[in-house]
Amino acid sequence: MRINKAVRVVAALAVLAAVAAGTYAVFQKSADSAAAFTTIDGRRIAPSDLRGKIVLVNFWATTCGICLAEMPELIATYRQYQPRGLEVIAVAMPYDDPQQVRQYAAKQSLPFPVVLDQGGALARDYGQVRVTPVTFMIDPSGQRISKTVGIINFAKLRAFLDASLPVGRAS
Amino acid sequence: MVKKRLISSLVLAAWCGGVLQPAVAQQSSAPGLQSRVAGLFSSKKEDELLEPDDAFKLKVSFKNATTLVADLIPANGYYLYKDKVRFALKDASGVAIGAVNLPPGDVKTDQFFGKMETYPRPVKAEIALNRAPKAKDFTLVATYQGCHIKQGVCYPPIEKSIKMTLP
Repeated sequence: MRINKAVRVVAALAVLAAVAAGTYAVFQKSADSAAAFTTIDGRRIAPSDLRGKIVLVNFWATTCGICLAEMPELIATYRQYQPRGLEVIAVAMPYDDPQQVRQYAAKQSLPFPVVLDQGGALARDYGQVRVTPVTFMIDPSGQRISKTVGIINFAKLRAFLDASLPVGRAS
Repeated sequence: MVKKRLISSLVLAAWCGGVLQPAVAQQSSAPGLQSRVAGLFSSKKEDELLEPDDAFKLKVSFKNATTLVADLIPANGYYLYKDKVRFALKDASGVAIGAVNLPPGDVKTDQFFGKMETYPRPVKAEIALNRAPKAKDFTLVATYQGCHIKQGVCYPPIEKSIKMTLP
């Protein structure tokens, strides 16, 4: 009887450990194992191509006013830090109209790769992104180190990039 | 038998430990980055966001023989974009939408969208139908999209198909 109880406790602990491992693995998932990015001009960017850079992956949509409101500052941040090793990838959500995405990217002269997530593989790989904007930071080794739901705090982002990227690095 | 179960449970626990370990080992190769990134952005509680169907509810009823009323109900703290509210009919023989009357919303000026109207409170949309005398069943397709005010996030467009029978 006592052994049965012990078995149940150990089994429960094992299940808990499995759940914890799964949860942790979702956030800590290597960006390398994610789907490749395909840009609106057909360029393919494999996660491994981004090694050595700090990468900001921003899920957005042209129908999301909040996303568009933060774009100008995202552009400015990219222009400032890209030479030092920042990459920004803007992933348009699967439900977005590709034509609208292309038009917006052209009109705003988005300087970073703009990706169409047709089929939703990226949204799934990044832990079921449902709402926008959602922003992930990926470290130079390819690990996702943060997820932000909602508007980016650009002051904090700049402070982070200043502290993390080498000064004056060539692009 | 009990012993065997105990041993397999221990093996499972050890295996789970093995799964967890590589995940830990996959932490940022630059641990300083991970600590600096903590609290990098505004902290949002994603779990507090409602499911789309709870955030934005839709009820449809007939006002009279030729008018449908769609109640669009954003939950407290959410809003709908007026210009993303659309109605269409399918499987509709002898019935068509004549006009959709959406009430005015709260006006805000967006840098990109320009003047925008939003519905932070429930509204009634009236859909006038042109119908033939023998028209009976049809499906109303409603699409709408909204956002959460405080969390600063927008939901994907929602599409609902509702089977209706003309009175």
